[in-house]
Order: sequence, then structure tokens, then C-alpha cells
Amino acid sequence: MRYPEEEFLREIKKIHHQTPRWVIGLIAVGVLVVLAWYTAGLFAILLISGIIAYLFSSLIKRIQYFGIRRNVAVAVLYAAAFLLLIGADVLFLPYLKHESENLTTRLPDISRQAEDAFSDLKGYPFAEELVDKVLEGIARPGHLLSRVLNLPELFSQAASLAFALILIPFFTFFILKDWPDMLKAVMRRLPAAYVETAVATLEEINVLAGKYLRGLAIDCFSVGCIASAGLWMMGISYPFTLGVITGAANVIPYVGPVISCTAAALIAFVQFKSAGAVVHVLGLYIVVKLADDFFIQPMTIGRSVRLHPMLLIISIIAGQKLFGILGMILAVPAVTILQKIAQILLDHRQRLRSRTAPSAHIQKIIV
Amino acid sequence: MKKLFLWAFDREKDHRLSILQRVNLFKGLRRNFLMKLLVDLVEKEYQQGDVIFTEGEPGKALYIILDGSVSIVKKCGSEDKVLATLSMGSFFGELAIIDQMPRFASAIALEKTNLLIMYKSYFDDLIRSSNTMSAHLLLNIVELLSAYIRKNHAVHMSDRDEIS
Repeated sequence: MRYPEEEFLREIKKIHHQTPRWVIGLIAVGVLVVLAWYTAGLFAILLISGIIAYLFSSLIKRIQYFGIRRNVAVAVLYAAAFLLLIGADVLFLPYLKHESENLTTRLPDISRQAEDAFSDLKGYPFAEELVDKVLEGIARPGHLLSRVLNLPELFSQAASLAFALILIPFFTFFILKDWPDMLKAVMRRLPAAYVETAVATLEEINVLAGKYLRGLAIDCFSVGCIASAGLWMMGISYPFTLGVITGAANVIPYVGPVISCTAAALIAFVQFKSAGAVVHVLGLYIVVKLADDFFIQPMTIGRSVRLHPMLLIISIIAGQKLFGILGMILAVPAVTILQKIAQILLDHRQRLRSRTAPSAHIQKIIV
Repeated sequence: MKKLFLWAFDREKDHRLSILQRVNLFKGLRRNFLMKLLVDLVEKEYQQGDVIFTEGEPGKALYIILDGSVSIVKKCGSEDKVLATLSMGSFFGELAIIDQMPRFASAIALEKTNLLIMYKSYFDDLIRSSNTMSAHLLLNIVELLSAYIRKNHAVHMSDRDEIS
């Protein structure tokens, strides 16, 4: 006599055997996306922790090259980061905090001043409608400018700032410390026939993702510093905050520089109430963009890693929908790496298909 | 304090380091370079009878034996010829990281075996990253290849003598 549970299991097995693998893969990806959607905050924290751990993994390895245990290396890194944070807190953070607080409290004033400054342009044909749209879309509180300039807003959709600040170092610590053990556990369970392909794939992904993420971090830092220095020399208010925004927005190709340039131009326009200041800011951002495209990016990221413009826009919109502004910034590197991983996996899959099965003579030796 | 200082150092790696120092390919290379290899490379434990790679498939990695033994087998017509049996401190699959041609022979674990796997792109990075190290490594490979040529030449000559 057959029990209903047995019958049910048989049916499940039958469905599993009959369903093509790509359908199962698609379902798995769908489940992951839905999970990511509902646990967006935690997912964002994990993603940031993973990226930070990845960026520092090569430093940890360098410490290990001297024969030092990984745990100790991670502890040393955390101690150094702690000291650095105290240093930064003393040197830069008060300035950045003062700037961003000042900017946040003054935002309604700035918005009003911007309205006054823009109203001078209203006499020109077609300008009235355009000015209204610009003010509506950018300068009014709660719109683009206030969202971009309000730094804590970046984290608000992921989780509360305090929650993220505790969890990110916590997760990063364990990812950094336990990564080799996780890798070992995977390798132990991997069938011998797939080891070479798996190591090959992992190595290619590692080289590519490492180069890209480290390159991107250096690129954004350099662009932020140059923009900040330029704005400071031009006497524009909030150069440090605008530099941070420029650096962070630089992760998003095409759209990022436009956002940061608009923010800086608006501040300059409100401050000096002249189109000349805006032109100077535009000039500075064009120079920064050219320097980035022709000197910094080729030296840091290289030209091999590029997203198709259509995929780029889709990923920015999806990132924004999932995690807000933070998602917009994270989406581009995440999708770029995923695209490259998919390319490498497909490439290996193709090579694996052409692989011949162990022939009879080897089977004989094994027996 | 001294105990704490000693604890900070990874003593487990010392044994593996002594094995790597015996590998011909890494002859003359500094200790910290070998430590780099131990940190960077993936390690895998194979069970007895596991096929590490099969003759004819595309080669992508070099293997260093940390523990256990491996048989290198070549199919000659309908016969199976064991070309070599390698043990701790030996390495195999080196031709794949030089020319990326299909595997010349198959490799099978004869017992529980621990291998360190060096993938081609990592090897290429090593060659590009350090001049002194890459010079050493390349010189060791050249020595290895010249030994193969000499051996093959000797076999060829003895075969010719036998025929004549």
C-alpha cells in the first residue's frame, strides 16, 4: 500500500526530473529576488559588508604573507581602522558634519534663494516654464537636491544608521575572517571532475571583481578629491560635502556626474547669484570628467569592464526601487560584476560541454 | 608577551612551506614568496581513485602535491601506460600553464591526496608582477623543459640504436 507522502515525494521527483534546469535556475533567481525585495535592508547591509570585505581582503593577504594568522591580521586591520576613524573624527568629520548639518538646515533658505535667483531668468522666452520645472524637480525640499544632499537619507531605506553602523563592521569582520574556511568547505564538497573549472572560474571572477572594485574605489576617491579641491579654490560653499557627493555619484556612469554637477552649480548660483559662477562650476566638472575618462579611469578600472547603456539604466532604476539612492550607487558595480560572472560561467560551461568523459582505460585504473 | 607574539604566527603553514621549498619549480625562491603561494592558492583534498584531470581535456592549472600520491597515465593505443607516480613535493600539469594545450595524460589520486592548485591566470600574474621572482620561476621552467628534451632525446637515440 502506498502512503500519500510517498506519492507526493514521487510526484515532486517526477516534476524535478521533467523540468529543464534553466527553469529551476530561473525559479531560484526569482525566489532570491523576492527575498531580496522583502529583506532589502538586510540585503543592502550584507552587500556593503561583502564589498568592504572584498576591498580589504588583499590587504589581509599581504599581512598573511609575513606568516601572520588570518585572525590576527583581521584584528590588526580593525585596530588600524579604529585609530584611523578616531583620527578622521578629530580632523575631518566635524567639518563634514558641520557642512552637511548647515546645508540641511539651510535647505529651505537655499531653495527660496534659488527661486529668487532663477526668477531673474523668467523674462526670457520659454525660460519661465523651464525654471519652474527645475525648481520643482531639484530645489524644493523633498526633491532631488534635498535627497542628494541629505547624507543620512542614503542609509534610511537600508536600515537605521545606527543599525547599519553596528551590523556592517560585524558582518565584514566575519566575512574577512572566515572566507578561506567557507572556500575550503565548498571545495571539500565539490566533485573532483569540476575542481579545475571551479578554481578557474573563481580565479577569473576574483581577478576581475578585485580589479574593478579597487579601481572604482580609487577612481571615486580621486574624482571626489579633485572636485572638492577645485570647488574650494573657487570659493564655493560646502566643498567637502560636494566632493563626497561627487565621489559617491561617480559610481553611476553618465547620470552621477550630472547629479553632482547640478548640485554644485545650484550651490554656486545661490551663493554668487550669477551665471558666471555656474559656468565656472560647469567648466570644473567638465575638466574633472575629462581627467577621469582619459587619465584616472584607464589607470584604475581600465576599459574592459563596461555595462551596456540600456542595462545601466535598468540597473539604476531597479537599484533605486530596491534600496533608494544607496541602491542607485550599488546597482552599477553589482550588475557589472554579475554580468562578467555570467559571461565567465557561460564560457566555462561551453568548454565543459566539449570536455570528454573519463575514458575506459582510466576507469580500469580506478578499479 | 613572547608567547602571544609566537601565537600570532601561523605555525600550521610551516610544514607546507617546507614541502614547497622542496618543489623544483620554486627552487631559489624566497620564503615570503612561497608563503604568498600558500595564502593565495586553493587547496583540495582528493580521495583514492579520483580523476584529477583527463587526457585531452583543456588544461588550466598546475598541481603541487602536499600530501599523498598521484599516478600520471597515458593511453597508448589500447594500452594504458603509467608514465610516473608522483608523491609529496612533486608537481604536475605544468605544461598546461605554459601552452594551454589539451592535457597530454591523465592524473589519478592513488590515495587520499592533498593538492595545491595554481590556475594559469594566477601564474601569469606572478610572471608579470615581480621581475626577480618571474626570472627565477621562468628559469626553473626552462631547466625543466630542457630536462624533458634531454630525456626524450636519450629515449629517441636508444630506440634508433635498437632498430639499427
